[in-house]
Amino acid sequence: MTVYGDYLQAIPDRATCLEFSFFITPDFNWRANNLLAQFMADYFANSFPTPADDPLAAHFQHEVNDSISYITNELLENAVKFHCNRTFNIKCGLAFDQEELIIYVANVVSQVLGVQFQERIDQLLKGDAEELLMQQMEANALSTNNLHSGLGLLTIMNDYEARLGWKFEKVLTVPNSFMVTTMVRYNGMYPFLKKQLELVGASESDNELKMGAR
Amino acid sequence: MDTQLQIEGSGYKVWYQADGQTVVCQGSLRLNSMQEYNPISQLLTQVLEYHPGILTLDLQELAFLNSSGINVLCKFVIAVRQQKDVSLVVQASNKIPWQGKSLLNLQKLLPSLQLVLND
Repeated sequence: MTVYGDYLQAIPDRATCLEFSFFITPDFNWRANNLLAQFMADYFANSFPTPADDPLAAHFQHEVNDSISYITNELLENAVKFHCNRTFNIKCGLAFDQEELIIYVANVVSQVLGVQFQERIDQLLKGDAEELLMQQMEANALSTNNLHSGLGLLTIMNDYEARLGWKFEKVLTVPNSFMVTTMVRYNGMYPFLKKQLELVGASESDNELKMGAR
Repeated sequence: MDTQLQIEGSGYKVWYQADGQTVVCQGSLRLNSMQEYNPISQLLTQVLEYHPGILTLDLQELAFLNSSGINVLCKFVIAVRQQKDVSLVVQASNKIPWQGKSLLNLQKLLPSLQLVLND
């Protein structure tokens, strides 16, 4: 197993976690990526109380929803594009606690693609995200036949200021392949979240007190 | 070969308003790969061939754009930069969070681009 960047091996026990696992059929509907991404975004954004008289809270809720939707969709699109073994499911998860939000997607890629991806990750981690993003945009403009933009991870790093990590594992039953997990650690909406989670925590404590008093 | 100046797909619509010299993008663009974006890229290229002087790109109702779509906009902005006789105005919305984050990159590619973020 090899880990790169800000990959978090153990998701904190107290984190709320939502995980989906699905397989890809030859006629997989591309729109399913966005359906899942949007569901995860809606689930997260609605996990917190949003007082009707608090426009700032509503603003952050909208902002967080939009960010999760974009980030998850990008990870899923990459996973679906490069997944090489239909007997393995793609996994997509969302976990959060008071410190941060984690989104991860795992899929199987060929060894050749995996090695190329590791070289790309090395560039991403060593370089400046903004500079790499601008370079990629300029390079894409010169190319007439690039199938993939190469902008997804870079926009997540630069535009959303998220931290990325990866785990590469050998798949024993599939020779010449890697199971790759890409993880995005995002805390762009804190301290708003912290405040909302404290509200949830306070409400849970109240309930516990009421239950205890019975 | 004629290029369509209106493209409509599932959940999105892109068209050119010749009288206002404006390309309008509406809905959610989440197409698979650059190949599926080809008709939209061709529309944008076609519009540049009209040498519109001032061209507006109206994204105020574009709720979602994936990175392949962002790439299409970047390529277009770089084409405007090379053409030199077109000034580009991008009308965006503060109500759509991705626009405030990702459209600033277009200005880095083309410093003369006027990015208007409307409330």
